[in-house]
Amino acid sequence: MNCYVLKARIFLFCLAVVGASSVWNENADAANISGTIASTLTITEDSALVGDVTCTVSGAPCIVIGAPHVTLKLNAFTINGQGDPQTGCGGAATGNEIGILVNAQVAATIQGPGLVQRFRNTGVLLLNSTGVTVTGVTTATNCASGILVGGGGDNQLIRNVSVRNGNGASACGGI
Amino acid sequence: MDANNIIEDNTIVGNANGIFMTSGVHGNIVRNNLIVGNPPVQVSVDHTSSSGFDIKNAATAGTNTFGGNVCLTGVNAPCPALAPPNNTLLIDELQSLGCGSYPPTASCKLTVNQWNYYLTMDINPNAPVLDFGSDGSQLMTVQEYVQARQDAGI
Repeated sequence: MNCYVLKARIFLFCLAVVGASSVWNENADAANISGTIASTLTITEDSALVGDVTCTVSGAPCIVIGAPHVTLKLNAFTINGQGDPQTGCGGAATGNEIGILVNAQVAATIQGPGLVQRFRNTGVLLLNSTGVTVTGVTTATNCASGILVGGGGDNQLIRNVSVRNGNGASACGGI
Repeated sequence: MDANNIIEDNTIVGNANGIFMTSGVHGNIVRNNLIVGNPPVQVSVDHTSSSGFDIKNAATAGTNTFGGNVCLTGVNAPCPALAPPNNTLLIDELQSLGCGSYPPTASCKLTVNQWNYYLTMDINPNAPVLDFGSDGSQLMTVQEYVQARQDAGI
């Protein structure tokens, strides 16, 4: 086998691996995100959805913004959790099973339009974060809150839509 | 939510609660949101023990600011409010532009010329300016400015 053929085969193999990596299972600096996320994806650079996402992560966040000043654009795509399509859950939330988590960060942005739905906990959680903007995001049928701010401050939630989030057992809100 | 967050121009419908604020949060601004049908009407009918509201504010009264929201049910919040009061949006925008703060405060006064400037430069270039019969140096709050415009028929 000559070298060029070998290189071509290696290149094609690499392409195949890259193609298969739409199933995210590790941290990433930056990403065009789509497909299935099987374990928490932590982004540390500006990222965007390039297709719908199905999260199969259990008991942990689907996407974590893990650095300051990071923007996640949803690009009109959907992030789906594992919740019941009618109720989001059977009455009790599943711990930490969050759609998008911004944990102790500064000046992150989650930019819609886009849909975060059917998570068995909160759709979008800003935890101990400051200066975060969430705009144009639709949260629906999440078991707990659509968008929840816990701790931190100076965040802006603007022009979002929250529909059918929460459950009868706890005092969750659309926001 | 905790402190000094802005929740603005959101549409919040059919949730267990619309906006829920826990005790201790403060300095948050909740304005110009559409918050209705929380919880969904059938939940309210079938489960009369449901404790959901469009706005459920468990924080100390007066520590957060509500303005211009459309809502029907509230705890410790100004609901029902079927439409934003007249000029609410204009006052909010001018206050933010001129004073960098919200809600409007009596301590923030600008000249008529300055309010005219923000109105025509940043909000509506076609808006008629207020001619207050002087050189435009009279100081007034945003509410006084908007009221003066109303009184002047503009």
